[in-house]
Amino acid sequence: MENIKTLSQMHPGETGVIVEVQGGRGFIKRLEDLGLRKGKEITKLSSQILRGPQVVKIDNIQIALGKGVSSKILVKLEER
Amino acid sequence: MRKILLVGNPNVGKSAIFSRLTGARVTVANYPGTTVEFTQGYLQLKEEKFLVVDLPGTYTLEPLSKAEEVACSLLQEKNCLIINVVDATNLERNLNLTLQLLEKGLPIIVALNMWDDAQHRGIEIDVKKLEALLGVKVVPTCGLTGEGIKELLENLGDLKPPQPFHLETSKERWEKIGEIIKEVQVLHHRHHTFLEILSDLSVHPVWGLGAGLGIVYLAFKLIRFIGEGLIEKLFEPLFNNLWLPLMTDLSQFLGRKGFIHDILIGELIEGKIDLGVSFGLLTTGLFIPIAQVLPYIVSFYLILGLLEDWGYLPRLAVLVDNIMHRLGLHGYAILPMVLGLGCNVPGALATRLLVGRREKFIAVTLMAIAVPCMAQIAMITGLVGERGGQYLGIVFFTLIFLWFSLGRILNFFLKGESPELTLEIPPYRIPHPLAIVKKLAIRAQGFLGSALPYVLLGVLLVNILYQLKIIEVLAFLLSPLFKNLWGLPSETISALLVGFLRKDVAVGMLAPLNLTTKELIISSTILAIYFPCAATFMVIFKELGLKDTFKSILIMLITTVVVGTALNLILPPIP
Repeated sequence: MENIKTLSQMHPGETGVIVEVQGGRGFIKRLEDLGLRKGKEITKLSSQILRGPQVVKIDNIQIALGKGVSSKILVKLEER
Repeated sequence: MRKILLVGNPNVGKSAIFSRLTGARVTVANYPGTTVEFTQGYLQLKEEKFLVVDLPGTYTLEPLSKAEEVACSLLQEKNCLIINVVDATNLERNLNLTLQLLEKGLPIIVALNMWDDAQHRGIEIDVKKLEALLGVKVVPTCGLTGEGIKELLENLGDLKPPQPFHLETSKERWEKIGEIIKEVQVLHHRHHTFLEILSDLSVHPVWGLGAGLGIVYLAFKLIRFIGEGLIEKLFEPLFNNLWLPLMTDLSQFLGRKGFIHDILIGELIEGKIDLGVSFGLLTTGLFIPIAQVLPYIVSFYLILGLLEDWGYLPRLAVLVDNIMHRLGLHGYAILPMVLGLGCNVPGALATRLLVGRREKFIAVTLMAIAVPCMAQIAMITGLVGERGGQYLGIVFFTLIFLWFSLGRILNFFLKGESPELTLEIPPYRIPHPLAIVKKLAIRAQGFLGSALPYVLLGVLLVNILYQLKIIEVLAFLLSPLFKNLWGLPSETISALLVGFLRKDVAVGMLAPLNLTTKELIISSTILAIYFPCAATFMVIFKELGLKDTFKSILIMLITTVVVGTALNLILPPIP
């Protein structure tokens, strides 16, 4: 369990698999529609300073997420 | 008449296919949410004429934003065919909408768009297998080059409703999609392209911010350079050498004075026509929109078009997200602001991309007050810039300061919180020169078509108001406000009156008044913030509704009084 982090805790360049999206049904669905859902591989590309948005990559899609959103996404990091 | 609806995720190229199908001229760009209203066009196919509707992009049939709502409401109609435009580079995510459409049992054909891009990215899709699994026709297309459009057309006429899919939950749907993807798609490994490296850099917290500042600065520099160049080298010489002699003859012919002369030619300045100051329909009425504003419109939309098609705007949204949160907005609210710099009308329409009523209200109000349109910027730059660049700086600094501080105030007082950014960022694409030119032509033509009548009406109105002495009466009544609070001569009221119609003409009306530089700074700032022009007002009313529009207007008027007075107190006399 130790290598599970929230997306906002991940460092740029790290990759993992989404294990859980915490939140209401509508919230989960909204992210699903964008292509972000449980079981998908996700790479964090960058994180803006001062609690700014994070940019992640899933398949060929790049998505910018607010810090609040990304702290509700749990990711199991890839073994190195 | 049967309808053809173009349905798909945002930024998959629906509008590009639409303009291929109908020949209609619509704006296409590389960011989600280019189309916020549906556009219609016609398509003649053998004997049958179809109405083709280009819908705003939607990720799902359960809409969240107004733009998505527009798309979904149309799907309720009977008797329509659907072209589901799918981004081949993102098949999995796009199929989510496709399956939702299939569940409804509507007659569908799938356009597998950006086919060329998918191949460059090493994505291989077995089209025949995909057809078999979905039970509908699938055609690889490329909207920008027109590849596959013919095949799309050949299959449109005899489209039949497919076997509807029965998927109960979104979990089942994703499982189904997973199965399909496994069957039809093979990914080949390949190296990062130059564009992708550039893309990663532009959202980097340090490099991205630096590059962002550089790009915005360069963009404005270029807009000014190209705009001024066009005015000095092309439009002014054309008017002075070709149009002015003609008008001088006409003035002579009309007897150099009289009612008709004053309406058409305007007032002679020291016995001569001054195209910028005379204020006749055929002199200043044409000179302002064509020679002074159009060059800036062309220049602005050229640069904006490049930024749009390249895909920079969503990255800008990421970079400014932090700042925008302090104003109760999120990063993508920068889009209406950027579009508003061209013209506040599309700017106000673009607030449809924002979900909440609160953020829409803040965005619209801030834009209407502190984001002057390019027509107005062109005129202010010409008029105030003549007195010195630093004075121009005061006007724009005041507006930027207002934008920020008013946003903070609204965010503080309005209940609710600012929503978070969740935004898809499209890949960088090299802008297609032909597409850029085409888009520029659509927008320049749109400007002339919508602005010219208003400008002429405005100039006509000024003349009539002067002739009927209405301006004198109003000037007398309002002079305490103008003189005591703002330090402005009461004749400036005429500019404010015309500003309800067109801001560029209104700024132009300040030219003949012999204002001091201080008066010029205050009056152009007030003109920018006090009220939106007629066209913008209509859209704001439509978007916000009666109550919020009223509130917004109230804020504008209060701000005007405060800012005008403050500038009057702070600025030393400048002759």
